Amino acid sequence: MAINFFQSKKTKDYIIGLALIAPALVIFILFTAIPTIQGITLAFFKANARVSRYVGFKNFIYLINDDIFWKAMWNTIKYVGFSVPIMVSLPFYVALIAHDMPKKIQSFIRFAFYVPLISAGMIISIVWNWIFSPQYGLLNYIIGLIGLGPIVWTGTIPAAFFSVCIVLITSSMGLNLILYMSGLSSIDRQLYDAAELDGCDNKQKAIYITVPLMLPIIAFVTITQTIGVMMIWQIIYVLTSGGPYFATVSLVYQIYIRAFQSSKYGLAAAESIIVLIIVLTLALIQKKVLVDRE
Amino acid sequence: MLTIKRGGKMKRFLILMMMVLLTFSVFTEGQQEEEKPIIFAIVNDYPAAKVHDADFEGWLYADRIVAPFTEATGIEVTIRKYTDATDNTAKSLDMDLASGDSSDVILSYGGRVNKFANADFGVNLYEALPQEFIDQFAPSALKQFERNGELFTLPMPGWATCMMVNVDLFEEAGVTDILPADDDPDRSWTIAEFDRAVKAVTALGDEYYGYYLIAKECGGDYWIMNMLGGFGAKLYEDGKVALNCPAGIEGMEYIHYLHENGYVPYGASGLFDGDMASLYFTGKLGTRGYVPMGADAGEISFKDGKNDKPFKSILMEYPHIEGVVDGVPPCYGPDATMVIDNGDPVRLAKALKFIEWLAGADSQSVIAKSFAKFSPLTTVITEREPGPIGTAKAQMAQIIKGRGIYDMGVGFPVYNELRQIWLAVFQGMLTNAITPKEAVEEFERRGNKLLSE
Amino acid sequence: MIKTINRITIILLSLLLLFPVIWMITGSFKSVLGAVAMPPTLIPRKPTLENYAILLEYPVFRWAVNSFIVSGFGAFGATVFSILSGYAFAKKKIPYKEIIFVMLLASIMVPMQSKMIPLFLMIKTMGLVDTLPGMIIPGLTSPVYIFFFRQFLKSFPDDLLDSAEIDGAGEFTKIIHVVVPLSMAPAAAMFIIGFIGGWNALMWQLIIARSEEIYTLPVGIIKLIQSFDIFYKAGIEHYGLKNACATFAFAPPLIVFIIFQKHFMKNIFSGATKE
Repeated sequence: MAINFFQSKKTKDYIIGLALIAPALVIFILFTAIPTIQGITLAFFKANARVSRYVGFKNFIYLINDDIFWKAMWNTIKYVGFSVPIMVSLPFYVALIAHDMPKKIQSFIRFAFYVPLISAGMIISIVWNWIFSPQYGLLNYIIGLIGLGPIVWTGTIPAAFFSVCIVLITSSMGLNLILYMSGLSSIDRQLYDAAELDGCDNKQKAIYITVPLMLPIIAFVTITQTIGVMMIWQIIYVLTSGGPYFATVSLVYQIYIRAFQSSKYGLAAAESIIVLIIVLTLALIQKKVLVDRE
Repeated sequence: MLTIKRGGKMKRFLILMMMVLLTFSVFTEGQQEEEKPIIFAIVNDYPAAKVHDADFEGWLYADRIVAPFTEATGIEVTIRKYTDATDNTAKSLDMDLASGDSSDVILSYGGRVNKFANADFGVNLYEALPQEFIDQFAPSALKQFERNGELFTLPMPGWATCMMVNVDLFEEAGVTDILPADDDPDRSWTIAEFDRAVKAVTALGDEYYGYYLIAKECGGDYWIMNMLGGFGAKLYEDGKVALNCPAGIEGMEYIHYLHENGYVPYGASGLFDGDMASLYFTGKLGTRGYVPMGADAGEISFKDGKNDKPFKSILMEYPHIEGVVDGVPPCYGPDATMVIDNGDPVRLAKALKFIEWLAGADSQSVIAKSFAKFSPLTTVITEREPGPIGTAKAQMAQIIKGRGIYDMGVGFPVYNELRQIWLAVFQGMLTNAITPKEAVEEFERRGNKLLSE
Repeated sequence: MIKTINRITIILLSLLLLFPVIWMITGSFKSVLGAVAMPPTLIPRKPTLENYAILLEYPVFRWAVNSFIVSGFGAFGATVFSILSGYAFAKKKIPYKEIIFVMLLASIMVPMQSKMIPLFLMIKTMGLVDTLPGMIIPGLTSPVYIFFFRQFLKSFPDDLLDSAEIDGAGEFTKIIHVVVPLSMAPAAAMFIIGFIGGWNALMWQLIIARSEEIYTLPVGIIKLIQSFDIFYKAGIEHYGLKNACATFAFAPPLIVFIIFQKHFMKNIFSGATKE
């Protein structure tokens, strides 16, 4: 009987499948799963670098009563709500237009979009600080030429949010564009030709052919960008320090401050769990809407 | 950590190995305890060594402090350097402490060490160290770090804040009568005089400003706090926020007033400390907050093609309200050192001996002189060096001696979070989201909540 | 007509996106005062190399080499494992496949701060702190890439695999000779993206790299930028030097990307996935 078991195709498939994912899985368990679980369980403790005391749900209650926590939550949702649609749709629009432009120009556009991604968030933000500087910055000089007054880009309440979004969006769109352009180029031209024969114009072609075929990529982009924006903190850290007056704090920024500037690891872990729950929910919703339509 | 479950033979082999190792360690344990040197961890910025001199810290800490100690007492000390001291985090130190690979004595900026200044990590130095040693410290410096009558960290040399005045600009604006004579040790002035000067300098032209404000990041908040000190308001007292008093509100309103009326450059919430220096050293700024730390005190300027003439700079205290206070204690940002209790009394005793040496007058003199910082020990006199640098430092030392220091909360374990709150409400005031009074009240509310946890 | 407007718009957009980078590069040649001179000019009035001179006093090339090693091995390992895993998730039946997959994805939804200390402890017990492998290994499994390859390989034609099997190919042969060659295009793309992503994995590298020789380029650059001493000589904010640091941190992956674009992009985007 045992011999039959090992020789059946299904089991063979199982074993081969497991063997294939084994290396990735082992590394995942060792270096991601276990530390993550260990880190998360700290949420029920009051922990500094050395000592942990069990406190049950006190950390969560503290967070719920903290108005800055809610501000951070609201800001993070605003970031997602404002930036993700742009990060998903703008590259799509660009990919559509660039699709039938000469290859050299396509290369250029791809290059231009991807280049901002090449530096780490913190480093590019340092350059943006200079551009946004109220006294020595390029932006204020340019709008001064048009006659608009100087703006404190990172230090005034509505402007600070947009400055963060500008840096965030410009430094994240490149990958999406590459994926879209690659996806577009693998769509059969004949579909379009057939549609044209049926009397479709460009817009209809886009809506009825392109978008449905590109849906898997759009789904991938949406989900990964949402997760990425939810985790935003390095840009905020360099650009606004969470200001002015808490206008740009994000959840993960708070986690960083709590964990490393105050050594309050328990509280940071509790906030991490909350972030996890929110992101998971968003991702599952997006999966339902975008992916399961296939 | 990982348990590998295998059957039979492997298991037995492993158990045998463990027993061998165990017996081995038992026999060698005693010896290891004696020989293990205590670990002295220094947490600093990365290239500090390169900028001053080749292996500066090697020279300073290894040769001038540790070596004499080992010679005198026979206790071996290993120096361990951590270089991720940015933004008052000490991640690597945290990680090592968490993994049990703990140092015995740590030295870093007070704002980093304060995280560990509690019974979980250290020992009450009021009890562990001899009274004569503790008495050497200036009381106000110790008070910054004291908590509930206990002291876990000792202040080391630190920087202190003052003002720099562009005398040439004051001359142009016709307000040099305010300034003391060069050899006058009294570097104080009143808020009224300061106000007059600021307005006069700003009136010189579009690109001139009397004072400045920065509020882009937490760094630089001491300039503002020193200003509030001039109105007689304390930030913290007895472990609580003490700013919410008439003096504090008056101070905030004055700063707000300066900002609203253009006496400070536009865009404080977006400007760095360094931007202010740019403005000052190109001769456009009448006064600026300053820390006399290096080779730039006195007559300097940058040649930018327009201003080739170096202008004269002198050091002044922050201005004070006449009749309310005598003078303003400078904000003081000390380094701090503490012992970490690793559960081994032998190591702890050695560490205590070392910290007595490290924080003692000899070492502090060496450190203070090398880094151009000011020592919290009343027994250490900052030597006067020739030239404007020496003058500024000597004047600063006098000020500290006379006025004590202004507690900006460096000793609190939640110091960094407090600074974030401070920055937030201050920016809120500058952007007119809240009034100065509301800002003070909010800082008190949030600060006290944090401090009482 | 609209078409032309659209075309011009996206070209303008591209230029706009490139602009901060160009500003950064030209800014790195500005002196202390040149960087704050008004009105600001794109080309420095008095270009200077002094910023790079300061930078070169530090072992920046050593750091760059470290970065290459860490990013290179990391991206290579991640791509290989992801192809294998993506193939398994797409084509093979594994017990609890969906659950494992969801767990993989959920792991990137946890902010990394919470797992930094436990992960560090794990690396420490392996003795890999302050080593290059310590920086490479945790990044070898990337749920995002596994996700990507699963999506990609889901639509991989089964008949190709079946016919290979009929020809007597074992699993191993199937993967090496059928799946991999046809996944070369997205694999190469993922490699380069993973390379650049790994280059910038600042936070983790900051914690692991302790000694100067082990710093990777972004780590060393960030430490320089945030150092009090360099930037506060006489207290002036040195935007030029900061730009030089940023440019230096950014140049190697940029060069790699440019080379990659020239050689590989042609093949990827000519509809190579159409079979």
